[in-house]
This record gives sequence, C-alpha cells and structure tokens, in this order.
Amino acid sequence: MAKEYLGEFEELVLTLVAALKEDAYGAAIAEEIETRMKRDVNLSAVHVTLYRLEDKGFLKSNMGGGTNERGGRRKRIYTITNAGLAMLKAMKEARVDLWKLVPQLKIG
Amino acid sequence: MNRESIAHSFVLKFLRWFCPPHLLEEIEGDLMQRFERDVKAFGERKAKRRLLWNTIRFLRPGILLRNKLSHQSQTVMILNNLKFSWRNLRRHSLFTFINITGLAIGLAVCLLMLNYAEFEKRYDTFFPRSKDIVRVSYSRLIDNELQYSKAQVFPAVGETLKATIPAVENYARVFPVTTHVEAVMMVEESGERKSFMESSVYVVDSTFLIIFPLDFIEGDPLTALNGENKLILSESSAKKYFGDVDPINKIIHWEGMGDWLVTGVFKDLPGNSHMQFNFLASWMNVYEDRSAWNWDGFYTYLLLQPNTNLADVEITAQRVLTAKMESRENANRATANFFLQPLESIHLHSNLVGEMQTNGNERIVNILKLVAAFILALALINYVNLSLARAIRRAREIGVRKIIGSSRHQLQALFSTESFLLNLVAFITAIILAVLLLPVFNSIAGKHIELEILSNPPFILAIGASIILFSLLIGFYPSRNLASINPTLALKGGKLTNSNGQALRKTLLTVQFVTTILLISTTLIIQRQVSFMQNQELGFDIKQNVVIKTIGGPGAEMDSTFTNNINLFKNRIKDEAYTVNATITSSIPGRENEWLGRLRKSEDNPELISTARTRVDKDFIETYGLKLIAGRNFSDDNPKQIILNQTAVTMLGYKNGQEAVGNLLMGSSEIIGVVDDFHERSLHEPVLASMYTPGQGYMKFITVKINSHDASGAIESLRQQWSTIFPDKPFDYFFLDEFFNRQYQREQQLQKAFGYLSAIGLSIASLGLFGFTYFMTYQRTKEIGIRKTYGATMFNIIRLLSKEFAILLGIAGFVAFPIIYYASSVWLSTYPVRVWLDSMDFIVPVLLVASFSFASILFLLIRSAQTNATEALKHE
Repeated sequence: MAKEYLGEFEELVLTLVAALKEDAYGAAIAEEIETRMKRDVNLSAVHVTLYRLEDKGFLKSNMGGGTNERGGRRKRIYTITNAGLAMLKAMKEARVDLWKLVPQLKIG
Repeated sequence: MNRESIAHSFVLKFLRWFCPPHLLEEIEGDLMQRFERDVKAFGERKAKRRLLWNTIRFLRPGILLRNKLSHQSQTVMILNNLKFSWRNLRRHSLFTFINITGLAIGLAVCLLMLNYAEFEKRYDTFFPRSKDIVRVSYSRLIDNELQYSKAQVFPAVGETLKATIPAVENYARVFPVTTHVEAVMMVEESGERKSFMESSVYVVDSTFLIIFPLDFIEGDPLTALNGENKLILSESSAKKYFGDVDPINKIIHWEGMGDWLVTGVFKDLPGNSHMQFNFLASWMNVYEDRSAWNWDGFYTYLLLQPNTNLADVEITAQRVLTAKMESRENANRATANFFLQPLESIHLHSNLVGEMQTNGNERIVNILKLVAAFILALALINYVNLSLARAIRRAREIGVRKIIGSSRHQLQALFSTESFLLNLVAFITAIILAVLLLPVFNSIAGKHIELEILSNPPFILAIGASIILFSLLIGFYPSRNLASINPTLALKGGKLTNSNGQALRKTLLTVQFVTTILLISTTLIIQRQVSFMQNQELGFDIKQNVVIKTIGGPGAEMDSTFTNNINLFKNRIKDEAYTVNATITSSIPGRENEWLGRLRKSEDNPELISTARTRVDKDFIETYGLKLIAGRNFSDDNPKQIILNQTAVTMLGYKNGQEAVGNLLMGSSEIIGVVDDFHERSLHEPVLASMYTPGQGYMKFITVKINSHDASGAIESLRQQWSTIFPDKPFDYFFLDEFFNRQYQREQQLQKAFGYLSAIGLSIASLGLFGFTYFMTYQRTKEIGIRKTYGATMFNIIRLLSKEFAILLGIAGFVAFPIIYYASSVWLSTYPVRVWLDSMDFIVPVLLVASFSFASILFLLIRSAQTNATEALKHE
C-alpha cells in the first residue's frame, strides 16, 4: 500500500476534529483556526478538506440533531477514526524525530 | 435582517443551484452561522458581502463534483458505461461502421481543408517582422481610365520614400531578372563543368536581407550582398551545383554577366511565401541609372516602423510620388496612383499585373472550407438519423434499464458515452486518413503542404473540444429521445412511434439530398465551363506548335550575332520535312506581354488607346493560322510597318480594316494589314487591342508548327540543330497548347477538388441512406408481411418503401434549384466567355443522387419484399 500522506492544512483540520470532539463541524473548525492560529481561512476550503479526509478514511461523519441556531440547519459532526488518530501520531513522532536532528542553538 | 430572509436571499438560492443536495444542509448552516458572527463583528453590510464571497468560494470542483456515491462507485459507473457502449457499438456493427466511416471521412476532409486554408492564410508570416512590411504597387490611368495595376514600380520609388517619410525604416528593391534575360549558370569544379538554366533569379538590394531575414546556413547575412557580383543561393541549389563541396567563396559563371562570388547559402524558402527564388544576386547599378522614373519593373518592399498607421504612410507616399511623376505623366495624359500592400495580404488579396507568381484567391479558399463543412454536416446527419432509427431496436434495452432503476440522467450519460466513444474513434481514424491522403491532396492543389496544424497546440485543443462538442451535440437529441421512451410500452412490445423524431429525420434527409445535389451540380457546371473555355475557337491554330525559348543572355537581346543565329536556326529547321512553318516572336499566346503601348487615335485626335505590342516576323500570320482580313502581310523587316487586330481597328475608330490600311500611326508607321481577333490570353479576359511589328532583337520565342507524324522525332532533330548553333545554350521547349491551357489551372484544380468532394459527399450520404433504410425495413417487417398476405406484389412493396425518399428527393431538388441558379450565375458572370445554365445542370445531379440512393437501398428493399410472409409475421 502506498504510504498515505497528509498536507499541512489537512493535518491541522484533522487535529482540530480530534480536539473539538462532539463539536467538530465545518464552521466551528474554521472559527477555531481563525481564533487560535490567527490565520484567515475560507469556509469552503475547510469543507473540501473534511470531505477529502473522510474519503481517505481518517474521519467519519454523521448529521447532528437540529437546533434553533443556523436557521434550523443540521450540522455534520465529524469524528476521528482510529486510522486518523494513528496517522496523526505517526506524523507527530516523525516530526519529533526530525526535530532532534536539528542542532539546538541557544538564543540570547 | 433576520435569518429567514437570509435563507431566501438570492445568495442561498445561488448555492442551492450549484450545490449537490446532500451537502446543501450543512453548508447552508455553516454559512448562516458565519453570517451571524460577521454581523456582530463587522455590521450587516459587510457581512452580506462576506456571505456572497464565502458562497462563491464554494463553487469549486471539490464541492460541485462531489457525488453522494463515493469516487469509487463513480468510476465503476463510468467503466460500466464504457463497457456497455463498447458492446453496443460492436453489436450494431453496421451502425458503427457507417457512422465511423462517414465521420472519419468528413473530418479528414475538414482537417485537410482547414490545414490548406491555414496554409494559404499564413503566407509570408514566417518573416519576423512580416506585419511591418509592405509592397509598393501602382495603378496607371490614362484620361482617368485604368490601364493596369502593377506589382512592380520604378527603381527610384524606394529611395524617395525612405528619404521623405520617417516611418519608413528601410526599403529593398527586387528585380526579376529572369523574366527579361535568360540566366545560364555554370560552375567548373575540378575540370567538370555543370551548367543549368535558372528561372528564378532576383537581383536585390543588400537591404533585402534586413527586411527579409533568410535562414542562413553559411555566410553572413549582414554583408553577403554588399558590393558587386555577389550571389547567395538556396540549400538545394548549392547541392545541385556543388554537391558536398562547401560553396562559400566559389565562383559561379553567369553567361553574359561575368563571374559571381558565392557568399551565402540559405535554407530553401517555405512553400508559403509569395516569392520563390533559388538565387539572389547583389544589386546591379546598370538598371538604376537609365530607368529611375521610367521603368516600372521593380518590386519594392518597405519596412515600416512597428505600429505605423498604414493609411497615413500611403497618403504621404502618394503625394510624394505623384509630385515626382508629374512632369513625365502629364505629357502622356496619365496619372500614377501608388498604393501599399501589406506583405501578409499579398497572397490571398493581390492579383496585379506582374505578380511574382500566381497568387491564391480568398474566395476559393472560403468556398472549399464551406464545402468541407457541408461534408462534415452530411456525416453528422447520418449519426443523428441512424440513432433515431435505431432507437426502436433499443427500446427493450432501455425499458429494462428504466425498470431496474436507471434515471434519465444515467441513460443520457450512457448514450453520451457511446457517442463519445464513437467520436473518439472517428477522430483518430480521421487524423490517420488525413495523413494518408495528404499526398493526394497536395497533387491536386499543386503545393507541398505539411499537416502543420497537427503540431499546433491550439488546434489540438480545438480537436479535443470538438470531440466533446460533437459527442454532446449529436448525442444530445438522440439520447434525449431514447431516454424518454416509456418503459411499460417498450416492454410490452407495442408499437413505438417516435413522431417527434419523424419531422426532424425528414428534414435532415432532405438537407442531405440538397447538399449532395449542390455539390454534384457545381462540379458539372465548373467542368462545363472549363472544357468550354479550353475548346473555344481561339482564332489561331494552337495544336502541333512546339515553342523553343530563345531568350538571350544579358546584353544579347539586341546583339546581331545572336539574332543572326536565331534566324539561321529558323531557316535551317524550316527546310526539315517535319516543319510546316516557323516564326520568331517576342511573345507568345498565353503569356503576359510586357510590352504595353499607347496609340494616338490620329494626328488631330489626341485620344489614346492602349495596345499590346508584339514583335514578329513575316511567317507569323501563316504559322499561327491567322486570318488577314485587310491589307497584306509583312514582306520585309522594315520596322515602320504595323499590322493591327480587329479590336485595335475598332478602338481607333475606323469603320473596318479596309479603311484602316494605309493610315499612319506613331508618326510615320503605316498600317499595312489587319488580322481578325484571336485570343492571345485566356478566356478570362476579353481580346485586347494588339499590334504587331516586324523587327530584330528582343525575340524570345520560336514557334515551330510541325506535322503530326512524329513529334518526339521532330523534337530530337530540333534539339540537334539547336546544339550545333548554340552549343552552350540549353534547349528549352514546350507545346503551345499545354502552355496556353495552364492559364486554366485554377479552374482545373477547382474542378478536380469539387469532383472528389462530391464523390465523397455522395458516398457518405448513400451510406447513411443505406443504414437508415436498413433499420426502417427491419422495423416494418411485420407490416410488409401483412401486406403480402393480402396480396401485395414485390413491386408494390418496393414502391411503398421508396416512396418517401422519392418525395424528399423531389423537395430537395426544388430547394437546390434556386441556390444553384444564384451561385453559378454569380460565379459565371466573372467570365467574359461563359456557358449558360442548362436544365441538365439540375436534372443530372438529381437523377444521379436518385440512382445512387436507389442503388444503395435496392438490395435491402428486395430482401425485405421477398421475405416469407409467415416469417415476417412472427417478427417482434
């Protein structure tokens, strides 16, 4: 099997799905990225990324219950799958391993 | 603004329009949530704008193409469609064959025609600054009446324009030396002599290479033509003269012109240039001095500064040049109107006196493109018609598919896949066909055209686009028609009427008939016109005339040794048994006569007429079999005698030949005789006023009339006689009738092209008709069976089945009639001598189409009429 690979933005979205748990849906994730990362992000980009991650099997989704907010529109709630979690871990570990190779300079 | 009004705002309507339904709810919700947040953060106005922007951003493939089915199942669907399409195309191999053949042929014809049109359109565009280059030409008027428009002007024109108009960056003159003198070139390489007669040598200014940068293989274009007696030659000529030896700094001896130093070799010019030459020689001053404003025999090209307004330059040039010409022209009551022709327009739009070679004609290019489109239309009509006819046979399949749960969308996708597959195969076949047919095409067109458009990226894109477009276009109607079949009816096997398809089908069939009739009729009319012109009584005896070129080397035109030798040759061959007669002349019929003179009507009447002037000898009238209608023939070489033709007599205002004889013209020349008119030029032009004078010098041709027994023996003997008198001069001969008929080359090519195209069109249409009848008779098997049980004869059945075609063909004939009438009248009216439309021009094509159609379906008709009635009744 070809090695799966995640892009930077995909990794970010995947991590946020894991972090937000029951509250992980498009608009919330976009908002979270904007507030936490101070990064302008387009709603459609988040949606497309979520769909892609779902296709790759790192996420699964189901429609949440209806609320009075959002004009009564339901949310699609995403949850991370085991494969997704494993992927995140693997990526983090690989990064830490690489980071260790960088000579640590003292600053100041 | 509350939530509900957002929900109904046009922005979200827009979202609903493009967004796949299963994604809509969550996206809408997210957008609304975002909007509410934005209202708090930025206010309502800005939030609305952001909402619109955010919505537009959802217009992306990731959303649009996201199906409820996962990617995988979509691929499965496409593969499944492909598989079924393939099976279907194979099962209905007749249908597939007819469509692919027709489409491929139609497309191949289109490809070749487009390639040709592109080739014609892109003449001379390969020169780097082709857009900034213009040619100076002029029209000569006498008493405000146009005498001629000429592509060549006076040698001082270029210099004058450069000096007075700042926008003129540079100029170059090109002198077509080989139309005046013969160029025999000789090289001597290690004792071996090689000599050739060159027919395309131009003497050019050194600036020529700045304006037209040739592709130099050897030598330096900046200096190659600086100084006297320098010569550059094409790669192929270099091969011819020097083989593998490096030609640079070698000497070429030009008979009568001395030794010339080879200073460069350039790559042969591409076929799509209005000038074609193998040799360029550096400028010779001798021509300049004596003819600055007197001799209009020089092509002059200007290089303008980029983005110059052509009209402005033209107006200034006219003013400057008219002032220069005034004193000379006023004496002749003449005016010279100069004009500038953009280089790129010369090939298709210029048709002046003294063009470098016969130019193209935009109208013909457009007509051929139109015809190619017609042929493609024939093939496309086949597809639509056959698909409709076939629908009945596929009804059951469609019924089953619908029952299983295919949506109309999915069925249309299936049919479009089929049509796409078919188109793809047809396009590939077409490209292969076009490559294979290119040599045939080139031989008809008389050109060397490569299939350049195939390596042209926009064109490849266009091909891809047309595959998809055709698939959709010709797949659309039939697939909609098929997809709309009612499944219950289809499965019950009841009679399916496709009534809405009927009208379309009949119209398309009629269009096919009309197109084919038009093509054939046009071919017939062109053919009749060409043969009419060629067999027209020319007024002189054109058969059995061998013409030998006697153009002298430079300086020899008036040289007495040379003229004596020509006379010697003539007198010797006149004694030969095969010779009927022989005459020495300065021009021959079928050639553009470079001597155009003016005659004053009489001493007291200053009105001028323009005449062609040919120098002849006393055997001229007899050799050409002309009719002397008044006066007498020349008896000696006294140049003060004139023989006129009838047109000249009429134009000079004499009542008849008798009255003209004895009058003086041009001061002291006497009209001694009048010959009846004969066609010196093709029948594209009316007979011009002409005069013939005896004289020595400038004699370019000997016409030998031979008796018919042994032409090749006669020519062999002529060659031997020639070489004893002119040992160094190549023997160059041709037959006068062939030479003369070359003037009809354009019509002959057109005739050939139309002949081929009509044959192709007729076969595509017949093929389609065959396929269509095949499906139709199949569908009516049961009906025929019933009719037969009730006693219908075979003849009755055939009549029944072919009645529809006969009616449609009749309608087509009536539609085609006015179109043919109009188009051919327009075309024929350009000829002074023309055929008149004949009822046969309409009847023959209709009959031809009728018999072809009938022949192509006869077999099917007989088969279905002969089927055993009991078998037929079991059908369905």
